[in-house]
Amino acid sequence: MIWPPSFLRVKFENESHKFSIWLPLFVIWPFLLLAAVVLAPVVLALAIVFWWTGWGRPMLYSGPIFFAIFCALRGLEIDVRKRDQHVHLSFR
Amino acid sequence: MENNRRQILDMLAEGKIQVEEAERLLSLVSPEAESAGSGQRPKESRSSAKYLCVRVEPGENADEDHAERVNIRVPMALIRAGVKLATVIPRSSEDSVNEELKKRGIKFEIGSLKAEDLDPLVDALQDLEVDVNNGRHTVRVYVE
Repeated sequence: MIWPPSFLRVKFENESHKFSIWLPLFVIWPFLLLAAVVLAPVVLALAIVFWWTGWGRPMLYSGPIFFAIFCALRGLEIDVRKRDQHVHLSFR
Repeated sequence: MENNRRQILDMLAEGKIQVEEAERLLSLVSPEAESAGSGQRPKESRSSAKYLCVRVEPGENADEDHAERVNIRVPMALIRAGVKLATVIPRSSEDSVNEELKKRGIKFEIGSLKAEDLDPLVDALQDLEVDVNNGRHTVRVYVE
């Protein structure tokens, strides 16, 4: 199982400014779990209602897939440098 | 076996064979096919590649203003999850997605995208390294 990312590191640097922060993403894990529990019956009901339109399946599956995407963000790294500018983003 | 796969990919890149033919040949030289022939147990089908990397570095003719360095590392799990998301697009929206892709010069049917097709593709990528050098930039795409 892949765990959701625990931290998001954002680093920004140019000639005059330098900024670096570690955002503790693990803080939002309980809220995500709570939201999933609360929204699950609502999404299920909506999926049943809208099944005939073709949107029921996406409604039902999009929640778990978005959660999988969130979990899969762990390890994503983007690093861009140009002259004195530097932007770094990484999920740990 | 690696040489065979590389040869097939080279032939595909040179346009000597079509995609279907390349798929057929790759399936013949796959570890499963080899082990079936030798009576060994097939290897785990899931690819060992963890990241798709894209690196852009300044080339030898790059001036100071265009000396950009880009380093992107995308987890394979993220690509897999993205493909899964594409598979739940309702049929009513598929046409508009396909139309938009066509407008951008990509002839691709989003409905034909299947999550189970991704592993063979990633396996093939393991033997492939794309290097583009136009003098100002060097672009490298590879998996690790």
